[in-house]
Amino acid sequence: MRPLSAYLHIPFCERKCVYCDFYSIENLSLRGEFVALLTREIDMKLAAYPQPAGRTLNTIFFGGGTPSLLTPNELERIVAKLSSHFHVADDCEFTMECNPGTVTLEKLRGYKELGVNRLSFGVQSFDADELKFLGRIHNAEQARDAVRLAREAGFDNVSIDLIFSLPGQKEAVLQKTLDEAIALNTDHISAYNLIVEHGTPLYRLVQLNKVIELDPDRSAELFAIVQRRLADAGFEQYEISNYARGLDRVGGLPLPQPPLPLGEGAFTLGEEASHNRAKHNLVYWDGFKDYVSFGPSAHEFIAGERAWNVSSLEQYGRMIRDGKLPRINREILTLEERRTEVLYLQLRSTGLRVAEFDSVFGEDLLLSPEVTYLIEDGMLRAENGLLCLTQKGYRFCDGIVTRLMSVWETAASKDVRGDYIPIAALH
Amino acid sequence: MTLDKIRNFCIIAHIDHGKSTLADKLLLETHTIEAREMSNNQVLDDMALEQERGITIKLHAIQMKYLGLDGSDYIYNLIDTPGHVDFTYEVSRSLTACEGALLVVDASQGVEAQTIANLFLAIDAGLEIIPVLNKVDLQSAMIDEVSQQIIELIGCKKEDIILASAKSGIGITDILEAVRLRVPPPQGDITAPLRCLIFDSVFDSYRGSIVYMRVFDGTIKEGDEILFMATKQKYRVEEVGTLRMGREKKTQLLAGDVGYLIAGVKDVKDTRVGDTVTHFRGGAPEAISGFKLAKPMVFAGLYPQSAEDFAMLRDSLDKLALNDSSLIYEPESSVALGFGFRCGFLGLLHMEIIQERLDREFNQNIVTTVPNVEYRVMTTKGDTVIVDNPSSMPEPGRIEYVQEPYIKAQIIVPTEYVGAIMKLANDRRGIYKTVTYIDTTRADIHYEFPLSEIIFDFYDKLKSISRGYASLDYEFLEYRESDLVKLDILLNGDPVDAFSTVVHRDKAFEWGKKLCSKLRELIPRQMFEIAIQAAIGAKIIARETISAMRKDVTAKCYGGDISRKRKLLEKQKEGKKRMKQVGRIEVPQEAFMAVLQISD
Repeated sequence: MRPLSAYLHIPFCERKCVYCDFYSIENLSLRGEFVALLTREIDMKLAAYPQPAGRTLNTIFFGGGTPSLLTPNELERIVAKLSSHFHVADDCEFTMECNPGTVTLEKLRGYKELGVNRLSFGVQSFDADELKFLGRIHNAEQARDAVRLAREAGFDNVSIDLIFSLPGQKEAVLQKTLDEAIALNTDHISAYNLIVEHGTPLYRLVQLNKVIELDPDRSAELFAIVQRRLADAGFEQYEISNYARGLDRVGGLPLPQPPLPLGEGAFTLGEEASHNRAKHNLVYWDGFKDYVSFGPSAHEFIAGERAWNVSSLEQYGRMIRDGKLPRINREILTLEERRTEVLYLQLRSTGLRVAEFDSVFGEDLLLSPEVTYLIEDGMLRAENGLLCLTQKGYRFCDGIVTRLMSVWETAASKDVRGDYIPIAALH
Repeated sequence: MTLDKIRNFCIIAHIDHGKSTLADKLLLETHTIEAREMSNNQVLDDMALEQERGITIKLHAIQMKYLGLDGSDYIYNLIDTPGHVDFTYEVSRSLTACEGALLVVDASQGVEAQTIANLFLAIDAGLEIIPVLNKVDLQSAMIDEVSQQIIELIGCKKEDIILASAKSGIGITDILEAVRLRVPPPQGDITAPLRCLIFDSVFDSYRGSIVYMRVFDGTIKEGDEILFMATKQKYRVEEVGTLRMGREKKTQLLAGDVGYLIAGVKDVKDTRVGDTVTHFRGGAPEAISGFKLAKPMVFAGLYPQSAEDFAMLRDSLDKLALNDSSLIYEPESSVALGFGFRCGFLGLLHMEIIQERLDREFNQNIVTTVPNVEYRVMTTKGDTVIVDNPSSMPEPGRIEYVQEPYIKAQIIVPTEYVGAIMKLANDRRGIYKTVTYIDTTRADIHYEFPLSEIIFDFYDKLKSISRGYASLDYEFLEYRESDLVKLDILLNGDPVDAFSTVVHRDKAFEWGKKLCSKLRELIPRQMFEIAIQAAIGAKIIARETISAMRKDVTAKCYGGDISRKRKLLEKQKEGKKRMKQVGRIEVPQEAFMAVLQISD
């Protein structure tokens, strides 16, 4: 049976950040009730769609919101429910997203006992003004403490998130944040170019001209600085915004595991692939792999069908209490749509598996002159059966993808099945 | 009806001087059409495009029955004429089919260049001219001044001028009576060998080409075997008749009649305007003089937006050509634009009309290259090469000299604008001939121009300089030697054939500079730097650079983003369809017309 990944969305935050477009609410008192709903959703979904039941979970990811607002007791109830329906792999990567302002040694130890083996801290910046602008509840000191506590609790796979290209960001401030991040010696760093997402408070501020977005050329320079600085520090960029500490990490301890074999989500870019890549996220960027999801606004993708839940805890609760799955929509992808997704997802991360792509979609990708041009331009490289973005290529991923898409004439691809089918119409 | 009861006439007028309104009033007055049948639109212009532009593009004819004040019945054939410079030849053919012309002049505007040009054609054709001063009831009417202009133009007496207002119905009876009394009845010999002059044809998908013609001599009836004398095509007559609100079938048409002919002609190119129809056996020894093939003056490449639409574009052009024998086209290929057609047009207006009809009637999305004229190139080997596409201009080393078409232009303009017009004319390599004054307020300016200098935006410039008062008429003069060079545009070092233009050497540097900077505005930044260069032969004369984009990427893409992101990419890909891929560079369509946006 094909392995599976699970995503669980914990929609609570002490305070919403100015840039964030994930669904969350600030009323923490609904937490207990939510855990009950979430476990019911797991039962209901597996009763209605038995297909994922009994499959092996290779990765589990608690995202949000702020999953670290869950107490170990609450987490235990959810994990028990998952274990009752799925087989959790021995080496399952089990990630909790944590806000540095919400963790204690005791809580982290509790998580560890429940099987959590990877922590991802939303640090974002080490600059006090930037943290204030972003609306974070923690400070730089708490961020450093959180990582220290994680190590003390025995976590050997710790990641931090950073955000750059903040309005008016000076290079020196970014350099300082990068230096501090590297000094923390974490196993993984996600560094995101700030996106002003529709519907966020930041979007309104930009519309009102109260905040001026960084010039795109300037933000491209900052992106290149991030890439170079992290590469110099021994981090392998394996996705546009994700960097895994390599085997030869500077000043660190050699990692215990042997290198992964080629295939199944781990690929070299001329060197050995790092073990510290986020395996769960690689599933999103594969385009072929299945993941099941629970919680408001969560998206799942099983056998070419994508479905997602309502982005409202209230509605989510009402639907579950009414005995309905809290889904709002689904889409069944056409072959052309899958082709587009596989292309851009694999390209943006560890590289497109050319032979598989060609055989599934009937293409002959490497024969396309556009591919040759992009290789000549230093945007792509073809290696070990993969078509990968170069460091420069990562900065042009969207442009490269649309160029490759333009090669296909998709006049006949207007398949109505690709449109959303409201769930209401299915009942 | 005997010949002395027939009157064949036309109306000569400038755009907006009231020709269509007057024609409608004549139809109403003679009960050819009843008021309730008449919509808001004028009857003679039945193409939507014509109504919008206020120009009669295709000729038509209509027959009226008129009860004269002498108590006799008359047949009036009104033949419509196009009123734009592109269609001079068609005008001359329809004038030949008449014995008289109403010269309609707007009393508030005065005489315009095209009116004069067409008037002279009518006088040359020996037509009786009946001057009509229209819109005399307007506050701004200048009856005395404009009457004086007319008197000086045609040497008539003041009392010969009919004061009218087509809109208010003033003078309509006077006009109808003047036609009866002053326009001579047609001459012609019913027993002589058949001679009919074609002044138009339209295509009917059931009947084939429907020929509009004037019978000069002889008789034509159903079953006759006929010959089109210029195209040497033989057909059998299926039907003849007269043109009223629709076709009215008749047993025969006689000398002096105006009517139509249907003979199962599948190709309008067999029924050329100006050709003579005679009988296949016992036909006329000589055709009516003056026939010539309408010659295209302006050329441009028409390309489908995407390669798979080539066949559709060809079908659309085929259909358009059924009704427009002056449209010529042949397949060509461009490195930059793929497969398309090189089309020849009578003029820029004709080209715009074709473009718009392709868009509106055939829903064709096309990319048009910059229009050009036809050059004659004498090579060093001593042979002559006709070049209707700048990209096929021989290498400079192979050229002995180049000739380009010159036209003579007549511009009529209020005197205060003469200086500005002359400056414009000098900028366009105009050769001054004369300035005469029609009266104290209006000047008649004559210049010779290279045709290439007036096909882009000359008319618009003329209008804007003169606040809309200037009018222009031109006709082909001759080919003359000019110091012309081919200006190439290179994108990242590769010449893009669709951007090549032929310009005068003195203007090449400035053109190159302006074209490069315009293209820099129009071509969006891409993943790589783009060098835009203008070159004459191997010599680069201007350069602009479009810097590379620095990034084009979305930072975050997790489970909830994937579907939205895919749709965004699909949309971006659709957006790219409005671009032409030239080598690796994505060039927006409007860039191919960039030259037209360059101002002096």
